Amino acid sequence: MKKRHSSVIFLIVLFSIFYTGKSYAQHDRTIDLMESIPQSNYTNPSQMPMGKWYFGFPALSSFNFAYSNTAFKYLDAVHHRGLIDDSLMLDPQRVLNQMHKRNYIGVDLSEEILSFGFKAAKRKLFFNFSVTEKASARFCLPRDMFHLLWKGNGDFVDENKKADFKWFGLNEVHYHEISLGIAKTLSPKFTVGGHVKLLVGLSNVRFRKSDISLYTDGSEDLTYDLTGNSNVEVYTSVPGMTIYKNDTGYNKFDSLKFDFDPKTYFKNFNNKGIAVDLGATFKLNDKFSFSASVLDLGGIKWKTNVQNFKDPNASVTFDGVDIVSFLYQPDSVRNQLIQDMTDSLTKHFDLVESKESYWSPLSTKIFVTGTYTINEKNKIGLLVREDFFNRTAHQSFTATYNRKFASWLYLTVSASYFNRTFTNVGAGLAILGGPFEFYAASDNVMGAIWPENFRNVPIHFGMNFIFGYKTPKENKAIL
Amino acid sequence: MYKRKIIMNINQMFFKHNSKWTMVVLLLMIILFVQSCIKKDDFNFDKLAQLPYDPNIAVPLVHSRMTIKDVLDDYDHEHVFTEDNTHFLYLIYERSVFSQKAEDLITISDQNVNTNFNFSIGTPPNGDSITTTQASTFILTTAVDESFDTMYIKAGTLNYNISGNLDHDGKIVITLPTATKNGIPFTQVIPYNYSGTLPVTINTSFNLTGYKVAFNHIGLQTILPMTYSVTVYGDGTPVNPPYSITMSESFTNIKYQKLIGYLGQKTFSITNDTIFVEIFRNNIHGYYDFEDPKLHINTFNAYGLPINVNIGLIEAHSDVNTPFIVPVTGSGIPVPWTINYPSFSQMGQIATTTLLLDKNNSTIKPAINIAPQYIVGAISAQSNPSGIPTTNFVLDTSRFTVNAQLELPLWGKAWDFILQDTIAFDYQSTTPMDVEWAEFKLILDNGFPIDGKCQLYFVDSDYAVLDSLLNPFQQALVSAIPGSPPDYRVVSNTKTTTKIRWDGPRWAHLATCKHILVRAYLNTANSGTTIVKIYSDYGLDTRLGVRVQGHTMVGFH
Repeated sequence: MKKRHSSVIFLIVLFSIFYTGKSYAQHDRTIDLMESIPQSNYTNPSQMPMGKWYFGFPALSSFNFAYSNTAFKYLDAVHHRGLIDDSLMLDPQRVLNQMHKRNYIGVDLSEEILSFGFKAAKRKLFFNFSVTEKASARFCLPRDMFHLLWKGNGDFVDENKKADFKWFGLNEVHYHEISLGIAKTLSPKFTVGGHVKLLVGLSNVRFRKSDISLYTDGSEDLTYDLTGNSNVEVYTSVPGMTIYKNDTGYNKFDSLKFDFDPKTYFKNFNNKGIAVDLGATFKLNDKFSFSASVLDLGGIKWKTNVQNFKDPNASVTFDGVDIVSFLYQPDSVRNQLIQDMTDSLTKHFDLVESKESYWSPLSTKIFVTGTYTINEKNKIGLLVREDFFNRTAHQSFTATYNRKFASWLYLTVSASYFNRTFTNVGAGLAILGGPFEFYAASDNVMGAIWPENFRNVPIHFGMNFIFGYKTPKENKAIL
Repeated sequence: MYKRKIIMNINQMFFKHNSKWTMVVLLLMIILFVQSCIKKDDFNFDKLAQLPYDPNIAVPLVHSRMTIKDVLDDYDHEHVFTEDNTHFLYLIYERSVFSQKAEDLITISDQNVNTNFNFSIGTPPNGDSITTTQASTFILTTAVDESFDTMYIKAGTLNYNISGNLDHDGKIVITLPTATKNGIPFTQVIPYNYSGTLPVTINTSFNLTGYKVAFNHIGLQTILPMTYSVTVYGDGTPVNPPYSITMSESFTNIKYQKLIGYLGQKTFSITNDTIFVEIFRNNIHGYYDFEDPKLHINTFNAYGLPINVNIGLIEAHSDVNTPFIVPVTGSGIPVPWTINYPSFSQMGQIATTTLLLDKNNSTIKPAINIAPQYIVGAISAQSNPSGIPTTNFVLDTSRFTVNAQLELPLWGKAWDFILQDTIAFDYQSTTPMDVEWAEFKLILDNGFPIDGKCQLYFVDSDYAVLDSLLNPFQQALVSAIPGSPPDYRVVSNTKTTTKIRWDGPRWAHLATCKHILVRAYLNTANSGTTIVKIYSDYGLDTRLGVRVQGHTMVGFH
């Protein structure tokens, strides 16, 4: 009895310490193995949540927010000066020391408007439906770019290497998602499932290609010649945004204008897309089970407010001003010559504009999970997640421990490696009172308490009404 | 026992019956406690201190390939470059000293004739007429020694202001028998109408354009024959002779297209003229030894008459180098200089005569080698110098021109030659941050057989020198290897790399810098002791880059 009391209190206290309800990820890891939450089906379409049927609390059934930064935390960039005084200091050098070749700063937001689900055929079939508002933005900051801005190009000269800004850019998407899912138990050991999702795009910025570099040649025969290369393709569909070019005849970016009208923005149903999620669960025996899922296979076709820019394979070298034309000229002539020279350099980076519709894929994810059931109330699991963006796979790993304290209380703790950090201790909580369920989870609860001290600040919470989840046995309380 | 039971009951009560509420209370307490851990001070940006910003930047500044044309084309706009088929270069300075058209030199003044026609006749029968004729001559007013043979008139007018006392109707016929147009002599009829009052006055004019007028001569006088005839119509009334008709004729605004005859001795008004030698104009200092400078004096004569040119004076003037004035004299200057002129069969063509003054027949070489800013010449000319009348010709478009051409083959030696230019440079507005150090890297690939030093002076608005860039002993420009005669072509280029580093305190002196004076000290190979030739394909490849360590403090308030 005492042991149970202390273990429960410990877990509650632990969770309370680490949870402030501030951040989350769209498809967070901790929730993946929380079977008590219907939304766990979103990461594994073959997973059948408890209960016979459910519906989500309108607009509050799943609120999922996550901030992530693969390079640095706030306190790396801004911190106190310690013993000197109480002032804050910017520390770009520390940020630079933390950075990797490519660094991503992103925000993900998912707000479920409506959801429900039910089981049929003696609970061997599970249908679910949801309408969700999803948005994400991810900015890639190459280390070399930050290095160049902070320290200049001197180091690149000394190391004789080019400053590589590949994948610099912003990728943003905002869309409505209408999902219809089904899961089926094919056999006692095997369950499959999937979602078909109709997507309606609202806005998109996509840097499909961003291959930019700057090389400073410090060889003995030259005098720091600068060679810039650029191969950029940017696609945008942002209602109310107009990108203007200048009048010199070169397609150079001149200015950006926003004329945002919420009604027009949210009622734009012309950018349609489709995506599927697929999942399968294999129960090896009473102890071990494995599952795998592929999420967000698909994309959106953007047709409205399209402004695309391409700058194919531009390369220019600047090796200095041709002083011959400057000799003995008045300043007005020299100024004009400088202007002409600048124009002739920048014209190599002409942007070719088009308004053709384009396809943007969603960021596909793969989840592979293994669980070990210790007993009826305790389960451990291991999740490997693969995210695909910028033509690269990004892995993360999560270990979880799930405990069912009572029919009304479920707790999960997790430890994850993602966004290049190990310090992601997560937790999840589901409390049921009758059919009402409140849940909350975070892949990094520490980030919620001290966001300035962590790179990942995820939060996920919501409320559902679940029916038919208790058995007579489960009604017994633990305390 | 009792106590233990109470404790057990309390335990049972607290944990069994109130376990849910206990957890809730514990949760709330811990959450509140944890919330207080969030440090708002971490986001108090009013306390943000200044950020030291120390970028290290390397950029190219200059890359140019200069040929001698590039340097001198911008330095001097008065010259013309010429090169031969070996690309050997000549500098040519040319100036038109004198030029005059024939119609401006030899003009036809307005001529007043004033013929009186006096005659007596009998009364013509009614309906009939009587004609009387008078021939006369007119002596043209010309210059004392001019005697025209033929004039082709391109413009001009013959005017009549007639006054007569003939009291009958009639007509006056004017004939210039030697003035023909398409072979037909000039003949004009002037009606004479008597209306009852006297005198009868008639004003009329005739266009002479297109007429070829042949003149007679008495000695050197130019004579134009003229014939008048008066016809009186009979009207049944008697005549009252003697009659007199005053013609008051005049030739005005006569312009010739061609004039043949003896055109006399004319002195051409050639004022002293100057050739500015721009290449030396911006020279602050410098010595030259051009191997073979030449002065060409050319005449272009379309006048069909002999002309003598007298070269009174040619002097080279320098404001910088002694002896400051050097006259150009020598056997190459003929006295007088008889120039060519076109013959009758060459009418309309230009005869050219060239006088060449070089080192062999004049003092042109020492004159040029003081690097003169200008050359002054005093020249005069006279037509028909012998004074013996001969047949000359001029067209209205005939022109007599004298020009001078100074030819400087880029062959020789030069030393202590200084070129200077000024570039605006406001240090404060150009450099947004302090400079801890800067290192300039200068690479010169020199294809010229010229070496030298360059210096950049940083000056303030009063042109007071604040600092200079280069070490006085740094010779950035090393001559290419010159070849041997006769071509003297460069054998190989010479490449030099010079690094100049300035540390921080030195940059502080430039706070008031407004200009940079670029001064180049140049010599031909081996400090100006070796003869070289400059070809158009020689070039100086210049690269200049800089690496700067900057420093500034970035504030946020």
